[in-house]
Amino acid sequence: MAIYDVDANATTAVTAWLAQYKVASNGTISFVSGTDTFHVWWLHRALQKIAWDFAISGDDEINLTKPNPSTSEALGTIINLLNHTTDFSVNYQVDATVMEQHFGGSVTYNDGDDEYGGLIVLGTVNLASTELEIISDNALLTSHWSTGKNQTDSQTLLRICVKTRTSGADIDGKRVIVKANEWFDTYAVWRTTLGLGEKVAAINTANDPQNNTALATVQGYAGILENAGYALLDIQSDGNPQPFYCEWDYAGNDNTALSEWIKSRMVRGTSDTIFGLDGSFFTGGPTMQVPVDTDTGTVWVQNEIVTWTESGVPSSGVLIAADDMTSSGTTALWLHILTGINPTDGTVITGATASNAVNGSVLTYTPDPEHYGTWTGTAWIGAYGVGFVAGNLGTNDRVIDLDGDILAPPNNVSISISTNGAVDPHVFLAVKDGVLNAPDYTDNTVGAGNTSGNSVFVVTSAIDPATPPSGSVLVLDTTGGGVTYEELEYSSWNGSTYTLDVGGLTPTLPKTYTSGDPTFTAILYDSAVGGSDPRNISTSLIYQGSTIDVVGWVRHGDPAAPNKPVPISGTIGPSGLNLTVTLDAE
Amino acid sequence: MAYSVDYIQKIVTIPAADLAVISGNDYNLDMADFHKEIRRLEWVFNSGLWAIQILDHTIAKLNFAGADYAPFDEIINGYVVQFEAGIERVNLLGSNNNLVDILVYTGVSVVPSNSAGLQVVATGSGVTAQDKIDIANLSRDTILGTETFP
Repeated sequence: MAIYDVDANATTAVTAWLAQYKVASNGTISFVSGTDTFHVWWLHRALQKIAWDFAISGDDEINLTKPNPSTSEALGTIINLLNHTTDFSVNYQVDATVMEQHFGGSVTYNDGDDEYGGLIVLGTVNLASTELEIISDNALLTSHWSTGKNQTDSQTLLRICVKTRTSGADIDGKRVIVKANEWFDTYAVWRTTLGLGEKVAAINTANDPQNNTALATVQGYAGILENAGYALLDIQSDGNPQPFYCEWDYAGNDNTALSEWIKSRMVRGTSDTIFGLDGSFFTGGPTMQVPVDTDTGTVWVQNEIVTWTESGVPSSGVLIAADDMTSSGTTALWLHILTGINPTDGTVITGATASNAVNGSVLTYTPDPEHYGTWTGTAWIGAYGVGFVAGNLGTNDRVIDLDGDILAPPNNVSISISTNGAVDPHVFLAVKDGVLNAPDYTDNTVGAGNTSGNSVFVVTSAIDPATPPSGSVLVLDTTGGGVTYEELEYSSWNGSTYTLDVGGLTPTLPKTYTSGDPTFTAILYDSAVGGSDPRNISTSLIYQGSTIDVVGWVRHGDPAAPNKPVPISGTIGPSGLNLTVTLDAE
Repeated sequence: MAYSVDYIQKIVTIPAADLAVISGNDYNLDMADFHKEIRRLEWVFNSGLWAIQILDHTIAKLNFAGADYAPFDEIINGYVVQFEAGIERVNLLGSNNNLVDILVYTGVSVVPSNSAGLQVVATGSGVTAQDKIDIANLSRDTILGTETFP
């Protein structure tokens, strides 16, 4: 098997070409036998050779009596087979088998109604077993190139000719997608538009250190949730949620498993789906953000195929997200193009039961080939618009919302107390006073408007951002002659307002509190629970970068068998705080 | 009825209902009950879980060299104790304690049962230099009267 590039020996190349193919008297070029491959230049040169000869030879039926078979342009990279049907009943043309054995340029025939375009894929791949996939008109081309073909130099992965025009019509605008989605390696995607001559696609892959589990094992992971569709996620836990087009949840697995599972949906040869699309055709995410207005119909359907016609070109895509699934309220769509070209202002995009018109300029994106961005093994570097459930993220992760903003999750640290020796220990832990070795009982004061029956409790100053998301705020009714702090259980807080826990002991304020009376928020004010030792209690807070000294105690005062109280103290740092306490009998 | 505690003023109030009547207005307070009730109050969420500890309790020493030694109960951290007014006498039973020291007087005669037994005293006679001066001065005044010498 020889590869005859453009610079091959002419005599040898032409001889080999003529031996491998037959040129019939009507111009039809067909494969006879052989395993060689040829630059398209040798197609032209071989035809010219036999059309120059006085006599026919071998199985070819062409000689000087026949009209000119072909023309060549651009240093032999654009070959045009000529049609002389009218005058000579000769039409030089090739078929798919012949063109599988050519590379290096384009070949047109049937007066330009049919065309093969040259494709050269440059780059390097990590695994020698890597097989490139090529998508044309939303279909995978049948591979005749295995792990590479016509690799005329060390940087060339593949050189072939791809059918780009048939019966006078371009095949999806001559656009193709080249993919290298090989298990254990990073993924790569390149979109290009073929035409006359030879066009380049660049593909490079490397070992993926976070992808080292057997494919079948990963495909067996259970429970992982895609949660496709537009979602506002409060990644920063600041009460200001931002838009994403999905919300991945590893659900009982872990982030490495999640990253591998997503890759498995898109691996070469897969028939799994992702965003409703066969993973073979998914290139990583939305390829465009489309502002829309004028609507018809009712609702968009997540992951549905949508269509539009742009400049006469029928086009299609997958609906990755809509900011409002009811078309009357939709202002933006995120689409993954499948065929055709991007819509422009005024073009109507249509789904099964809804449509909207484009309103303004379409933003084009190049998705990450792995979809999610990068998983380093310890942190996500998220791709555009890819969201995760809060519990999957840590403070070292970075994600990018649909507005393009980079968001960092807060350092949500855990504070946990593990107790031994008592059945129902009660735990109190609070921020330490700035001077005394005691809790700070007055870190805030009662605000205005705290009337009996209210479902919220308002304090004077903004609540410390390093406050547990739910728990207990304690208030001393000094004005009312209170002799002890009263506990108010809250389920959330924001600004200077606690929302009382409707399922707790104090769903509403039990009395009217007077502005200015002291309050403080406990870090822990609860029972440690569990059927046996150790019994645990925990909470969390968003670490703000400064350590927090805390003090408190663990008590068990059941009159049947009280235990000696145990003072506790420590410092909440970037890793939180964990304490273990043993309660002795008294 | 139960004890009431003003955690702000640090006052523990014990009602007559939580005492054992001897006769009339005379009562006994079993310090074991006192201990348990204080521990309960320190433990519950709607009372004193948030507040600093009231009582330090040293466990009884039982069957030590043939004898059972009573526990110690010490009211700590500035808390004081008062009994309901109208009670004439309360006998504190079952522990050595410092209730008398931190008692808020409400007309109640409190009788502790503290027993020191073997005590730790200073080495030697225990008489300090100041004691010697005071003894000398008192002896002089007793013998010579309280005249002032030039």
